Parts: sequence; structure tokens; C-alpha cells
Amino acid sequence: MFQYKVVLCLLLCGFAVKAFAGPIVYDVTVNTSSISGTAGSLDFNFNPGPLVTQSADLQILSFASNGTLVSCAANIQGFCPTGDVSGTLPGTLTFDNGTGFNDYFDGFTFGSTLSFQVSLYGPALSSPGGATSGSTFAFSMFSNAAGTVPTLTSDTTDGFAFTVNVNLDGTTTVTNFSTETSVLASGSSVPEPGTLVLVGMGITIGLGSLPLRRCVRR
Amino acid sequence: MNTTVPIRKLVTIAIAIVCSLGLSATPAKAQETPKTCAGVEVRTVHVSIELDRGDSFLPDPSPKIAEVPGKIETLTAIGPPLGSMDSSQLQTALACTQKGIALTATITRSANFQGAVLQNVVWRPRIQIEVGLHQAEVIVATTWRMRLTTGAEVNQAETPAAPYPDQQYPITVTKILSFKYNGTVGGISTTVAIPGQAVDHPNGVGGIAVTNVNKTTTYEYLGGTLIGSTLLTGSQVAATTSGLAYNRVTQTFDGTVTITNVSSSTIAGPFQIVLNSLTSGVTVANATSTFGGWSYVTVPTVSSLAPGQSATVPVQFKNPSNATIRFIPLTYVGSFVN
Repeated sequence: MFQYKVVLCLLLCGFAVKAFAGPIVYDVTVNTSSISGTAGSLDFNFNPGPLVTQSADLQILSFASNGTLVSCAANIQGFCPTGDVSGTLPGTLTFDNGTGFNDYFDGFTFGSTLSFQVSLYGPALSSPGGATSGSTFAFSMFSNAAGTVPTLTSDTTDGFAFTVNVNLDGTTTVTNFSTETSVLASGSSVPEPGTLVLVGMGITIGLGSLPLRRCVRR
Repeated sequence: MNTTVPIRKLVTIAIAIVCSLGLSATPAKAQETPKTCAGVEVRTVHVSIELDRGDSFLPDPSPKIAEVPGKIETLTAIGPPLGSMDSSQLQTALACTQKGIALTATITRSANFQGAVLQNVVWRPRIQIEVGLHQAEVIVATTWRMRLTTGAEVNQAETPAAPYPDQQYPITVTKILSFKYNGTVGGISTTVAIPGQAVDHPNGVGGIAVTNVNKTTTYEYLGGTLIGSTLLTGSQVAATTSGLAYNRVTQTFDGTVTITNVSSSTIAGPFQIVLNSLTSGVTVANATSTFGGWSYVTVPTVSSLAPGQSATVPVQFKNPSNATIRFIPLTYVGSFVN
């Protein structure tokens, strides 16, 4: 009986650790007032590296702006997503890194502000190991519809406003090239109530087994 | 208790299975495919198979290119573990590369395979290649592909029985034959690289028996190339990369390659990273130059790497067809002088 309780306790504790490994979320806010009214474009892409890459997923959530999105069919390339991307802005976009090029591009007339969340999850973040390449998310803004003239970034060579690297150890690294862009980690690592219940059950069963063990020894 | 009958039945069944598959220890296909390239001449290609005898492919079941002992110009390309659902009749094709030869071997798997038949029959293909070398460095690349009988390309395939893991296709194995002349003796340096894995187990100078020093020295002069560099092994340096972000301004895929000294000694630079076996149609936009037919980048401003120390170099790829970019990073110390 004692062994069963120990095993049950360990299993529950294991689930509890797993429950902590939620997505990594960034809150992104861009002050676009300096280019308000400009008919430009936005680009999001999330791609793996060239060696062995672990599976990872990314979502663009809660996209909000007082600017105007161009319908995908009407943008300069005639469509928005390329590769493993689903959804349409301002709704949720879901990317994975299953192909080499996963991109969402759309025309956009800038207003004074732009905000969205970037949520990263999947084995590369929750159970990293065995990979030799990471994955990279990049967000860019352009002052032309063709997406060739970067704006609101100091990285005029690459045009990225910011990038998020998924590292081999499951951590992420943000590089922000835009003084107008704020990229802040969202407070998503607080354990959910369900997790606390699991931890409590594990501890209770573990402690409860101690008197029983003494009885058996007698 | 009499166990003779069950054992006899098992042996009979095993023999029947092997015979029905056409598998035996003798070559399944012996063919001669001469091919002459700029720096290397392929004299013969012989395809055979090797049966697994109780996990005998362990501890290293990975495809590889191995030397044939005592035969300086003969290599054996060993394929992945396969099963009864795979045909022993391989399709092979040779092509010249800028500084060597590329052999493509295509395996055909039954489209009806559901992962639960004849799991006790495991074998792997062996391709013996006899070459003649005409330059200081030759790169031999073997690519293993798998297709179903329907013609569909297979990217990931089960191996019929444990302990062999599933296999990603295509598999490219590269061997660099580098003939060096240090003023007194000749030698051959070889190494094997598999995509996604560290370069390891180099044979180094003397790994192949050098039967004729003068002949090796002659190769050096024929090639007219002085190689002042040394390939680092997986026990010396580990290479990793970032993801590749698409840059709409330059229309390139941008990322970084990081090398880390995983040995216990400081390694003196300069460091060159050769992007071996880069995906066809993809070019390196910021390459320093080429070596062995492949682009390389020089790691800037790093004169040495202490144990545990890393250095990072940016890489940019032109990829007009948006293909998945793959390459094998080979790290050298020294300089390439052409």
C-alpha cells in the first residue's frame, strides 16, 4: 500500500511540474503615431533552423489597432499566409515550424497604435532536448505595401522590429530593434488553481503515507 | 519436454522469409557504374546487403561511409537498417559535384506496410565504391532516399524492430578525403558528417593505411592546392544554429551559426565554417568564399576559443524557391588557400 501511495504521489507531482510549463507570452505594443495614415504592411514569420529542430508553435493573439488591415486577397502578393500558418488578422494566427518558411504578410494602413500578443509553446519550449537548431520569430513593419522599406526600426538592413529566438534549452530571447515597440513578458507563469490542487494532493498523500509505514514496521 | 519441433519450425519459417525476400549474404546487385568527374573517377559501384544478426548493427546503426581496410581508394557506404517491407533492389545514381562525387541511393518500401509485419528481418544496404582521386581533396557524398511503391517520397520511416529508431529521409553522409603533404610524409585525413549530428570519429592521418607515400605526395602536387587548415571533430567543437528569419528587405533567410569549444583545451583560430551539402538552389549571400565546392564563412574577430567558449557568425541565404534550408556545418581552423 505504501508503494502505491508513493507512486501515486510521484505521478501527481510529475503532473504538477508539467502543469507549470505553460506557453511563453509576450505583450507587444507599438506606437505608430509617427507614421499614422501611411499605407504600409506588416510581416510575421516563424521559421526553424537548418539542423535538427524541435517542434514549436506560435500564436499571434489579441491583435488590436486603430489602423486598417487590407484584405488578404487585395494585398500586393494576393494572399497572406505562406507555409504552416492558419488564421487571418485581426483574429488569431497560428504558426508552427514544420516547414522552412512560415509567414504572414498583409497590407496595413497605420493608425496611432498597434498591439498584439505572441504566445510560444510546444516541445521545443516545454521539453527541450536533442535539437541543434532553434527557431526564430520575426515581426517587421514597412512603410510601403510591397514590404521592402522598413519603418520604426533601427535595423534598416534586415527590417526587423523585433525577433524572438527559441533557444535549444527551451528559453526565449527577445531582440528589439524598435524604440517605438514595447515587448514585455506577460505574467503567465503563475500556477493555475488546478495545478495547486494537484501539488496539494501529492503532498497530502506523501505525508499521509508516513504513519502507515511506521505501523507496518511495528 | 521436447523443444526440437518448435525450434525447427522457427528456423524453417526464418529461412522461408529470407528466401521469399530474396535476401542473402551474397550481393543483391552487383553493378559497375563508371563515372569520371573533374577531380575523381568512380571505377565501380557494387550494391549488396548485410543481414542483422541479433542487433549486430549496434552500437552505431547510423548510415556512414567507411573505408575498406587495406584498400586506399575503396569506400563502403552503409545504409540505414531496413526490413522485409523494403526492396533490396536499390536504385543508384552518380553525379559530379564541384569537388567530388555524389551518389544517390533510393530505397523502395511497400506502400502496404502498416508497421506490423515480419519484424524479425532486419538488413541494411552496403554500396562499395572504388574511386580514383585526381586532386588534393575529394568530397564523397551519399544520399539515401526512400520511396513507396506508389512513387511517393518518404520523409520519415519506421525501422522494423527495436532498438533501431525511426529514420528521417533523405539522409546525406559526407566523407572528405583530404590529401595533405607536410614536407616529409603523406597521409589521408577522413571524416564523416551526418546532418544534425556532430562530426565525430575522424580517422586522421594514418586512419587509412598509406601504402605508397610517393603516390600521396604526387596527389598533392597534381591538385596544386595547399590546405593550411584542419577539420575539427565533434569532440572538439559543437555547431548549433538559430532559426532563419525571413528578411523582406534583402529577400534572404537570416540566422546565426554558433560554434562552441567542447574540448578541454584552447583551440587557436582562425575558424572557418563550411556549409557542406547546402540545399540545392540555396546560396550563401554572405559567404567568405568556397572550399571543396561549398560556401564557407569566416568567424570574425575570434583568435581562439577557450574550453566552453562560443563564437557566433551571421549567415544569410538566398532561397528563391523558399525550400527548407539544410546544411552540414564543418568547422575548420586555419585558412583556405586556393
